[in-house]
Amino acid sequence: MSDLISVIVPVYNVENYLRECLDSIINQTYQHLEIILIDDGSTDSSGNICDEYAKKDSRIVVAHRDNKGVSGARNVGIELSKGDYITFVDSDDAIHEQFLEKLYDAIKQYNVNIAVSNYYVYNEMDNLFYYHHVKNEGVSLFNHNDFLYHLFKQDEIGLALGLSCGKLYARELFDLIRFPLGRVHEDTIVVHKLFLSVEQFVFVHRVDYLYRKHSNSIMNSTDKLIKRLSDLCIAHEEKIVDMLLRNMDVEEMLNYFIGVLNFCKYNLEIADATNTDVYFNICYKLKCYEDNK
Amino acid sequence: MTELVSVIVPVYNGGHYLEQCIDSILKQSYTHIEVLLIDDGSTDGSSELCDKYSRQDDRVITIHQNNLGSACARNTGISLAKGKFVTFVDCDDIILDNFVEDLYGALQQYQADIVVSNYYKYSEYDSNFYFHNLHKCDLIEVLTPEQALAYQCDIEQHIGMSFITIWGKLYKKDLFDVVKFPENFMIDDEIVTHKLFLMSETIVLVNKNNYLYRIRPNSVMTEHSHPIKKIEDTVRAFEIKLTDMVLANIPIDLMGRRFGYILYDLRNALEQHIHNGKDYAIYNVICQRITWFEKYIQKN
Repeated sequence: MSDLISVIVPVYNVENYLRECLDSIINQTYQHLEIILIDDGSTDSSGNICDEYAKKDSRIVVAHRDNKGVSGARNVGIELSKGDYITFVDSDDAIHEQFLEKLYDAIKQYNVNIAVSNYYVYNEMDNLFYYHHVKNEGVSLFNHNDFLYHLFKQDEIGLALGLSCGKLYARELFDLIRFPLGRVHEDTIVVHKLFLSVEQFVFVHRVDYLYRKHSNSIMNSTDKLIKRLSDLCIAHEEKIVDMLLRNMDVEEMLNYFIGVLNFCKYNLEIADATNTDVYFNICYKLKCYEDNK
Repeated sequence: MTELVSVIVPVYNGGHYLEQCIDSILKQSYTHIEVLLIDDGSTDGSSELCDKYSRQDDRVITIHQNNLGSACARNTGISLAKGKFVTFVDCDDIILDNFVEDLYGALQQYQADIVVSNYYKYSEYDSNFYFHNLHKCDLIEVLTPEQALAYQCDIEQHIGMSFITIWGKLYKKDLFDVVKFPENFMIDDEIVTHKLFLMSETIVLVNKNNYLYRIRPNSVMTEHSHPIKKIEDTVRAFEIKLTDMVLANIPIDLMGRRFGYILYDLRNALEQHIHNGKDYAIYNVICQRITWFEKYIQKN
C-alpha cells in the first residue's frame, strides 16, 4: 500500500483557472491522494466549482471559510490533512501528470523528507511560457550548503527552492511549522525553516510545476510599501537567527542580507518613508556593517 | 567649565513617586543639568506636577504629548536635549545625589561613550530593598562593546540587568543620531541598548548603587495586559540584536545561548500562564527554535 499524499489548494477567486488546476491534480498518475480545497471566501464561482469537483471525485474535500488570506488557508489545509506527505498547489497553477509520482519516487529512493521539482512560468502579461535552462536531468541529492548556495546565487534551482509550492514534504515537518498570518513574503519566512529541519533533500530536475504570473502588482500606498519592506527585512533577520541557532555559517547569508537592506533603503527613500522604524533599523544595520569592514 | 547633561524623564502616571523622582534629580551634586519631563498623556495629576516644577526651577522643561508610549517620549526627549550627554530616569525611580557626578567623572576620565551604573531595587510588594552582590564594589571597569554585550548575558551575576536597561547610564548624545527608540514595541531595552554599545568605542562600568529602581504593581515593566505581543516583541528584539551583532562582527555565542534560555522561559509562559498559549503562532516558532538550540548546545 502506497502512502497517502495530501494536496492542499487554497482557492480564492480563480474561476478562470481553477478547472485546469483541479484537472491536473485529479489526473495524477500517483493516485493515492486526498485533495483539500480551501475556498478562502471566494466571491466568484470558484466555491461552486470546488463543490462540483468534490461530487465527481471522492478524494476531494472542500472547506469553505471567510477570506483570511493564503497563509491561513494553507494552515487550515495542514490541520485537515491526514496524508503521510503534503504538497501545496496554488489554484491558478497546474502540475504535470507525473509531478507527484516523480517526487514521491525520489523521496523513497533517497530516504529523505523533502523533494523539490523545478517549475516553469506562464506570464499572463505577454502570454509567453518561460522555462529555466535546465542543464541536468535525473535527481540530485542536496544538503544545507547546497540549499544556501543555490538560494543566494538565485539560479534556476535557487528560484525553485524559494517557493513553498512545487515540493513534496513529509507531514511531520509541519508539526511545528505554519505559515505566518498577516505578513507578506510568507514563502521566504517558511521555506528555509522546512529546509533547515532536514539534513538532506532531493531535487528532481523536471519542470513539472506551472506557475502562473499575473500583472505586476502595483504598490498602491506608502503604508503597504512600508509593511512589505519591513516584512522582508524581518523575514531575513529571522532566517539569520534560525541559521545561527542551527549552528550554520552565516557569512554568505550576510552578503545577501546587505543587498536586501540596500534594496529596502532605496525604496523607502523613493517613497519618502524615511521617518520610520524600519528605515532606522536598516540604516543602523548598514552602518554596523560598514564600520566593521 | 562643566558640560550640560540632559536628564530625560518619560512621565506617565507617576503618582506620588514622581515628586521623589524629580527631587532626586534636582538635588544632584552635579548641577549643570537640564531636566526634560516628557509627560506622555498622564491622567493622574502628574501633568500638573511637571508644570509646577518647571515654574519653580528653570532647569526643568515640561513637554506634554498625547499618550504615545515611552519610546516616543524618549525620542522626543532626545530631539529636545541641548546637552552633549544624556541620561534617562524612569518617573517612579530615584537617582542618588552623586549619580550624574560619578558617571560624568568616569566618562571624562576614560573618554568613554557610555558609562553604566549599577542599581538597587525597592519592591512595593514586600517593602524590601534588594541589593546585588557587589563583589567588586566601587570598582571601575573599562570595557569594549564586545565585553559590554557579554555582561548583558551575565544574568546570574546580577550585573547583567545593569547593561540591559536604558536607565542608569550616561550616554554621549550623538550616539542617538543613528539609534532611535522603535515606537511599536512593548519593550525597548533589549532592542536599543546593544545598538548604543555597538556604536561606542569605550564603555565604562561604575559599580556603585547609584540608581534606585522601584518595582510596583501596574508599572510599565510589570504590566502584562498584552502578554502575546510582549512575547513576540521579545523574540523580535533578539532577532534584531543578534543580526546587529553578526553584522558588527561580534561573536554571538553567549547572546545566542541567552536567547535560547529565554526561549524556554517564553515557552513556559505560553504553556502555563497564558490561556490557550499553545494556539498562538509564536508558540510553534519558539518550539522549533528550541529543538535547533538543543542540538546546538549538544554540539558545543
